[in-house]
Amino acid sequence: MTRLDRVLAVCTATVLLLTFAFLYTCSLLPGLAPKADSQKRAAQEAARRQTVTEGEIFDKNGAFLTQVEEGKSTAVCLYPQALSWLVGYNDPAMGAAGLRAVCGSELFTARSDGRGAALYTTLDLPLQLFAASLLDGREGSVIVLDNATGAIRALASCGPTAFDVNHLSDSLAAANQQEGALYRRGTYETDPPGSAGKVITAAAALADGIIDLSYSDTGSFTPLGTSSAIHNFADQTLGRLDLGTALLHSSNTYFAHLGTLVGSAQLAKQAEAFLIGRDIPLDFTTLRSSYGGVFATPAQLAQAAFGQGKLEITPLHLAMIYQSIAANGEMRKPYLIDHYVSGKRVYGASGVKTLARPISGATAKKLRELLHPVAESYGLDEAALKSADVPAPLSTVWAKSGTAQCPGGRLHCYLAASNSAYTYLISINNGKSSADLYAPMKALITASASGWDKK
Amino acid sequence: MSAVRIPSCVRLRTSVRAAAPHLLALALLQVLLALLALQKGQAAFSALMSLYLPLAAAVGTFCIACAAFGADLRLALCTGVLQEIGAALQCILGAVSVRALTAQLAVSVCGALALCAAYERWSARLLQAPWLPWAACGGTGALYLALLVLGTTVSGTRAWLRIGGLSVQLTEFVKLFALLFWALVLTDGARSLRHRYLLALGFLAANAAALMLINELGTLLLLCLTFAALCALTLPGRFGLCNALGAGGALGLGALAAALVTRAADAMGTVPEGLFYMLWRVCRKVADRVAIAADPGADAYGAGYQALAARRAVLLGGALGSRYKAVNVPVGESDYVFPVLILHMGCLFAAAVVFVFLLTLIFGARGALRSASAFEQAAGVGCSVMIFCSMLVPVAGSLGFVPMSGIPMSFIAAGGTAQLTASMMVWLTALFGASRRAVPAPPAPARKECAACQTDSDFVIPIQL
Repeated sequence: MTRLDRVLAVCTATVLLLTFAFLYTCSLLPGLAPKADSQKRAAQEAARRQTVTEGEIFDKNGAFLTQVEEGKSTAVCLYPQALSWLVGYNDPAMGAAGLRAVCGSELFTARSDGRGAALYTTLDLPLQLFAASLLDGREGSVIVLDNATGAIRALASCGPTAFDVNHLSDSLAAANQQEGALYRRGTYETDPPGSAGKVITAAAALADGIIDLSYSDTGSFTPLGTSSAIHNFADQTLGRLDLGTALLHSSNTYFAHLGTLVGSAQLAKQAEAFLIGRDIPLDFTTLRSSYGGVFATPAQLAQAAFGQGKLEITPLHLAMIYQSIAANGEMRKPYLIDHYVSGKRVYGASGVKTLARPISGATAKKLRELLHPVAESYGLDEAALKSADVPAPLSTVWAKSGTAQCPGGRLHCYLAASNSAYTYLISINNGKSSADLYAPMKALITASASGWDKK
Repeated sequence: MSAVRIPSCVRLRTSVRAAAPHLLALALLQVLLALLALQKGQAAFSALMSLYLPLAAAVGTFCIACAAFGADLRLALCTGVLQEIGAALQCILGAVSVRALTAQLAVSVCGALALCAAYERWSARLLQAPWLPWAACGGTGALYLALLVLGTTVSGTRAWLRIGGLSVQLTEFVKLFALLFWALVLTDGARSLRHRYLLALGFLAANAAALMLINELGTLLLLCLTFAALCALTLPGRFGLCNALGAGGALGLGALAAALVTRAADAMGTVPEGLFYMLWRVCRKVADRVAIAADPGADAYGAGYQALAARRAVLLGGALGSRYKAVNVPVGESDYVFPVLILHMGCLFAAAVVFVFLLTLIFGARGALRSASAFEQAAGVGCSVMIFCSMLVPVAGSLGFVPMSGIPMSFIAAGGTAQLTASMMVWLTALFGASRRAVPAPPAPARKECAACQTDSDFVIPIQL
């Protein structure tokens, strides 16, 4: 073999290798390269979508949330500050998220007129915009649920970096620079609920027949088998407490003690009744939560009983718990997608679904009675709300706040409130005190009143 | 020295008859491509129909000329196939007008014919001249000087010269001068092996410096690959091995130096003027290209956009092209012509193109070896290798296997100058291997053999490759 033969042999081998490599890369033979096959499907879908005019998204009253400009095929999010995390994006290079990902097959499949289907959501646009304004750039979420149906009237999210789906590349680049910036607050992050989770222990106690435990609060409580004491907020000593006053003053020691009386099995059973520890698939996301499975030690039990320890849920899930209290024990399935419209055809209506009945009607009524004075202590009393033109059915409020201690010294502040129509939750992932949320909650309840008038 | 004789009518008829099967195959391919263009749209079909006769004339001329002079018709067939596929693709893309494509074909055929005729007329005398290699050096230097003084910068690369309304890529002619110089020097039996190698390497280094100055790294890569192949083929055993090791070591050192320079410049914050700036600019360009090849998604709407669009085009092509019109690959008519070829004509056509380039290399190199002249053998092999590498590098780059470089794929990518120089190379290669030349191949220069020269190597005429 001459030297030229060797060189030609090398060149031939290189060409064969290259040809095989590019045939492998371009997925010419399905099944040979699964990764290339999925990339091909994605590329085909992306190319097909570019020939379709994107379906627009509306709120429950028909107001545009996204709109296709004249001569274009893609829609623009009209209120990116308030809606980017919900509307999301569906981009060949960047991927897909939000409603545009979940509803992509409807929004980006051409009907007879070459347009995708129109999506009508359950959102109330004015309420959504107001909810987003309440966050004022703070990392967190604001949620408003319809008690009767579970429809999500508002779900505003704000992360540590600005997120604008109309300028996707810049937004994702900025988010990639900061750890933990790339997820929607309110439906993804799981943190202890803090004092807002005391209703779980209260519900367990009521279900167990512990109607009115009287307890002398000395400012600390040390569970059996541990030397670590549990203290109240600001090391307060609250004296003689019952369930109502314990909720009013948010006594950690009372609930830690109550948890030990309720017992690990009963508290775990109540947590599971509230669907904690299970994945909850919704029409636009899946909620995850945990309580650690079992409270192995008295210390773990005590911690969970006042809303700390291994108990971790998302803000939306916490709102669902309060919604079930407001709805006489029926936990509705939250939904965001109401129906699709394509031409004259209306389809895909979600309908009202009940996820669970975690508490009885009597327990729910008792809890409401206990939480009403708590709401009044936050300034959410009937007189104050009526003076703000909140009509009578909405001015009776039940509420509970919470400030959870999270890893790294971070405080996650919650304020959950309900009236006969809606359940509200304001969650600030990196807050100072839940007392900062009283005024925004009052404003939110007031704002929802105008939406309730038009319901 | 007798002048080139134009074949007689009888000889012409014989030549046409000899080339008939190849002409028929090319005609059938044109029909197939026309049907493909019809599928792509009326505009593509009309453009290809307008180009039908000029294209047939161009490929037919080469086939008949090969038949007339006893050159390898298979080389003409391969070149014709590539030209027809390239023309069809450009008509489908519509980025270059039919008039421009026709002019390119005409210029490439006339230019190649003129060069072959000039070679036949004057090579016997010129190849004896000891000043010829230095004239090649001078020619190369003049090209670079013209670029530095009068050149036009496109996307940071100063490789074009505007003459009237035309834009000529002068770096394409650098390749011809380089092949001329290397073929002369590496086959000069009067010089020692070390001397030949150092001269050739020195020429490469000078070109490297000049090409880095104008920021044209694709041509540099092509020259390096051709130089390595020529040295491996023309230098004896251990020199060839040293060359390979040296090239690998130089590449590694170069990469290390590039990383150090880039890091130093980034640490300084500002880049000083002068030589360091030139080095930093080259290193930054290489570093960016490597980063894009490794992960184009990291900057999907910036530097990685072209690479991602090219990948989508490759995925959507299928076996015989796709109907997806919405995929836009920037610079798809030249730099990223291979993914666009897959998108519009399919993987089977693309694979066929790759294999035809391989056949061009095989037929061209083997044909050149039929020459009695060591220079012609080396030059013919060099031309074949350069055309092959002009396929290999863009294909590997646009598929993401290696960093992308702006080398136009011969006969497929748009570019009149690239078309001209590729035609010149192929025609010359065919001429070197022709058996019925008007003027016999020039003999080796009668020089006293150098005492230090190796005699066990490939420089005994004819070259034993």
